[in-house]
Amino acid sequence: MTGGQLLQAVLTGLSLGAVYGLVGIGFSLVWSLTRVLPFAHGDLVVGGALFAVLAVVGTTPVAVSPGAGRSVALVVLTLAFGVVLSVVSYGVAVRPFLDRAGHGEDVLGWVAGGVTAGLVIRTALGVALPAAAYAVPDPLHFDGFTSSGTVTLPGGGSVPVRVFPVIAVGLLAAAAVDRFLVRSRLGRAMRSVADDPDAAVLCGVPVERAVVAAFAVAGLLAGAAALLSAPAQPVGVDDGVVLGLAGAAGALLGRLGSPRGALAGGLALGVAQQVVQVAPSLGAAWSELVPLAVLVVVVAARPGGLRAPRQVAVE
Amino acid sequence: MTTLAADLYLLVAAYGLALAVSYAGLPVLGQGAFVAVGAFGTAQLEGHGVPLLVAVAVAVVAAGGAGYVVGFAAARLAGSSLALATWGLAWLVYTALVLFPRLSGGSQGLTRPTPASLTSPSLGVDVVLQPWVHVVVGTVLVVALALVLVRADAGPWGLDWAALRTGPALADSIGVPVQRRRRAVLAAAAALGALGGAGTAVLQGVVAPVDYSPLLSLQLFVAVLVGGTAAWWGPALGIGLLAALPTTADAIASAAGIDPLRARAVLTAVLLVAVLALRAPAGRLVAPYLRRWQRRPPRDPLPDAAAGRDGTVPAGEAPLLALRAVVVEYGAVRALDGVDVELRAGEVHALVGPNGSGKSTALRVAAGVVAPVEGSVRVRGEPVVGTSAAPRVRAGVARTLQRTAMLGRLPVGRQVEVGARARERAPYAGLRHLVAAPSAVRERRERAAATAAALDLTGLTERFAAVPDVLDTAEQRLLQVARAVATGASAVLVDEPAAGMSARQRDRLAGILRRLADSGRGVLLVEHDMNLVGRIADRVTVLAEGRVLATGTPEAVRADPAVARAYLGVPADS
Amino acid sequence: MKDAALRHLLGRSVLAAGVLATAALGAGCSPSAKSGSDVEFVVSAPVSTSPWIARFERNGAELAASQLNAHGGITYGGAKHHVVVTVLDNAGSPQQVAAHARQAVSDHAAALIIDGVGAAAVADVTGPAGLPTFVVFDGGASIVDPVKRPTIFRLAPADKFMTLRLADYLAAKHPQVGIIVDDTSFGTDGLASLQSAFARDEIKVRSKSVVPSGSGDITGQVLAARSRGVTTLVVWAGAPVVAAAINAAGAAGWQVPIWTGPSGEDPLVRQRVGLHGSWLDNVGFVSFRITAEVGPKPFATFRKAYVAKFGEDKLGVTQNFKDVVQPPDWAMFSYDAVNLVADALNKAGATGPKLQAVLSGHDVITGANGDERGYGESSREGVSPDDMYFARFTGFVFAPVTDDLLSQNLPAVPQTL
Repeated sequence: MTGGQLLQAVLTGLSLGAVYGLVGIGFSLVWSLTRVLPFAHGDLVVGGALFAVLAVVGTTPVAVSPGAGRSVALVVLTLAFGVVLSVVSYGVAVRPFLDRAGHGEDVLGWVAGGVTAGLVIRTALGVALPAAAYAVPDPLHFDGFTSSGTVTLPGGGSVPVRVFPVIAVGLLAAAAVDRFLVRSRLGRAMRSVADDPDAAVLCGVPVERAVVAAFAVAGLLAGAAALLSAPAQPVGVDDGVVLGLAGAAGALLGRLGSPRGALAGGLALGVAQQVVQVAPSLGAAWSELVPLAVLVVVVAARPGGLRAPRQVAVE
Repeated sequence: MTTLAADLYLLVAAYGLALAVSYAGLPVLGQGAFVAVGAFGTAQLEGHGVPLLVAVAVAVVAAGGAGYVVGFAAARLAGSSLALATWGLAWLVYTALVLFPRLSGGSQGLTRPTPASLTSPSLGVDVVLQPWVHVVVGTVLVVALALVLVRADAGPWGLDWAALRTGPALADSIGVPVQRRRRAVLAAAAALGALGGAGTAVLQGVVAPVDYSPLLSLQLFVAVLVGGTAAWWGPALGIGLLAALPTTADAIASAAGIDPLRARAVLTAVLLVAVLALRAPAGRLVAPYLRRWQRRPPRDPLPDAAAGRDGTVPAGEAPLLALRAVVVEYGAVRALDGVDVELRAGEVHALVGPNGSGKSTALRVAAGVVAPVEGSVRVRGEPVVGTSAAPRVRAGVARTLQRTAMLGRLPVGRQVEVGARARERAPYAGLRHLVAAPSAVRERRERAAATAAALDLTGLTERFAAVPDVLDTAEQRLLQVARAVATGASAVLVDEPAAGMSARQRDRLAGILRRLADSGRGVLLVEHDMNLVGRIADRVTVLAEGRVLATGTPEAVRADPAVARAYLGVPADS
Repeated sequence: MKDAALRHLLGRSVLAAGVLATAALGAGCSPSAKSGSDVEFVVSAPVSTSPWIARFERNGAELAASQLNAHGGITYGGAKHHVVVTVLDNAGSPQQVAAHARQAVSDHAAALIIDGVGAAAVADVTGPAGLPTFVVFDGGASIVDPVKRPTIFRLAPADKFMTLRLADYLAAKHPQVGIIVDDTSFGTDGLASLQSAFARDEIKVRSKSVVPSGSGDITGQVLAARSRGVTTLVVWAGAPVVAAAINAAGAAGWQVPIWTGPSGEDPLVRQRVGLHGSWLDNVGFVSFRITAEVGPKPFATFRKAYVAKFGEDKLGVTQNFKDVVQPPDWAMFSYDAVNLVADALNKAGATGPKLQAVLSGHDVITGANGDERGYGESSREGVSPDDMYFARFTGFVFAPVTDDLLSQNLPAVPQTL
């Protein structure tokens, strides 16, 4: 592996990781307020991208840069579909199974609910979009920064020019969420619910509103992830699940509930995956296993995330 | 015929999963991965010249081992993390199968000649495994599994499973070996999944990754959810619904004039949603008919059966429980800083102190859920180590939790029986119950006796068949005490039992705690209500900032100037 | 007391049996639309997983059936038989394909038409019954075997023939070849067969790389090939990787000829490259020819009938304000399979082994494009190497290349409305 290849792998890995990070932040945020793992989260990304494409372009999308009107419509609808799908999946598939009338939460219920919500999104998309993969237009015109759409790196490598704006927008979006949680009234309410729901209720924090807001923000981030990632490669209806699991793996590399940890974990995971891909004796197949293997191992070893304190007792 | 046999094998895998999901309450989303291990393991081993039955056995044992390893990692996990880990595992196995065609045969899959035949010249066996043979094998397996599940659920394992699914933390506190049971359940579930997978591999003659995708895991999961909690018929109904799905979809499609193949995908999703939505109501509808036994009145206690094992200890022996110079640190905070506490038989010993003084921590150290960094804990003079509650319960120390923790909606009698189960030290109780061994029958009687005795002592006998929802606060607390007593513990640790009780309820509680001590047990009590403490405690230990301020009779402690300064700044009886 | 428990258990077992029986009923019965005098063709297609393939597989068979029925059906055994096509979704699962094969056998269907998945499993089922099975899409090397799987006929271009033809064609240009394949079995089998074909023709392979299927960006691999002095890229992979290779070379401004397999004409390639239509000028692909030496007329007739029945398959791409469409090329194969079976049935007089014997005894028909279709005793390939051709996209027209003897005389097929 040459230095040029390594640089190339790190840059593409960072852009992949920025997407994982946005997915992971949403995953982590939802968990911190509700202690629910949103199993449909990855499907929100593909759902946001493809429902918006269906609404604006139709059933045979082409990777041609859309005009200004369509671009705006695509951006707005992708984000909106992310939010709507997230909030609806909470209301329909998660909320009914949370702690009702003191019977304790129904873990089997919301786990099955989340997974089923994901399946419903995939099935609904599959009815309209039956092919294995689709070309998704890029409303952000990230390929247009250079005429060829690529940038030559020192050391002989080359990366698509879109990796730079993807990394930048990913970092900005993550920073914006971080600021929102710290500065805004709603964000502070969300954090207080995350810290201690019972105390938040006593302090008059509107817990339900904060939880819905968390799902909405997570959906918004999923939509952003869709805008950044979908135009880069053909998108299949089923691609969301593994993306969601990769986001979860990134979040767990940090600490569940920490947006910065989720972003850092996602970036690390993306880079690791790309480096494995160019590593001499490993290659593409192994690289695809990286996020899933990381997820399984980290959840089993440290369910709260690598940087979470060890649990003291079973309680 | 082949389809029926395939569905029966799928049902075998579903029964395995039901053990984990609907009996032990573990949200396992990766059963498809174990089915794949069985299917591809059998196909690969056979491809390398291993005889058929050996290949099946090895694949099943390997999957069981894998399940045990997953259980080893997952036994500590909360339900949600287990779901994520197993869902990740399902995708990991599937992705690996797709990415490594050498392992899986790629999109064409691994093939073997079909129908298979079992030939052994030395035994004179030569059977061609026609589909009907598979149907017979599958039916026998399924019926046997259903019978075993029903029988096991009525025995000691059933009690353990009920505790696992309704309240793992609570189960741990009353001595159910939660982690061991989870490992065993996951290993069994994985092995049965692999058995089903091996069956389909031999039956179909071809296995490809696409047939063992995470969708299979999801379908199996929903299939076992159909029947609700611990219902032997649940998996059969679920798999039946899944099997009937294509036909139904075609019928609906032709009636509505839509593409049948689209209709099938949509209907699958709709079925899953419907199952989820109808799960709770259906369970409530069916439960009364299936749980008739729960309304049985308690049997007469057998006075001799429980003799000597009811937790009473002659006074004057070594202290039941002794904490010596115990230090506990949470990060940089010293929660306990050299604390001595001693509990003797026949006494109520109260731990008091302001919030954060370390009294609950001291109770946790005594119960074995928090390990001290320094100092020792002795039970009846024997030093104990480790942070596992189950051995502590067997040694005779049981606690109630601070909040009113319940084993879900299990009836009162059943909840106490779970506690009574924890006192048993006899190995293989579940297996002996399955074959109706005399020893198991005797243990069952003893359990019933201990349950009845504990209910009697706490005055809950009338509430035997009640579900916790209808109990008032006092009765819920008493139920916790009854569970702890039923474990046969001689030292009962009670954490803030009087919180939220009315004066009359407190009187009742006080009488029962006193009765516990008078029966020869020791009661270690953490309580804020100084009035209650003054009435029933023989000794009081006052803690402040992790240290012991004073120990002695309530009167002596109340008179202690240091205590008055630090804690009881106002007269205690105000 | 014990009796009561036993009765209880027994009662439960009876209930269990009831539930199982319900399950069995649900699983067992599947409706069949055919009556006694019908002749059935079972099409097992990946409808839910690869609808693009399934559509051509189904449409071709249904077009042939409706044309046959317009003339009263197929005549054999002294009677006319109405043709019924049963389409089943195999979801890409070999187990499902095997199940469909069992259904075809028990229905006494005339023939089974599959895309290729599950061929090995199917052979075990259809072999003993003598039920002819046609593979109309997959060109994989391991699918047909005249000795071990006599009932499996391929009516689709074999990958091996295509790579051999590509090697022969490229040899004259003395290229320095870079091979890019994806990690599917199509890609890795293709790599092996390309390497042996290039070795035989003494063509230098400068670089080879295996990339993940579905990759969106393979710039690194493409540039690595360029830096090793490659003068011709051969991309043997699914459509996403083909598109990624074209995009990567185009973006780098590298005017290198790119040769692909039949996946190069997957609509996705043109949809992904939609932004830079001119980059397609360097792309050629080896495929089966749509038209034969006799000229474009037979295919035009077939296409007209196809479009009349099913409409055009638009790609969503426009060229000079005209919609680009996908010609029904792959649909020819299932169409020809049904017609070939109809002809053989007429001679055999019955389905099953007799039909199988006629099919493998040089029964020949003229196919949709004017080529002859038929099999001999030891041949199960319905598309011969001579039927392969090389073409380029020029302005969204599949134009045969002019420097290949077998391609140069073929007419171009317009792809715009």
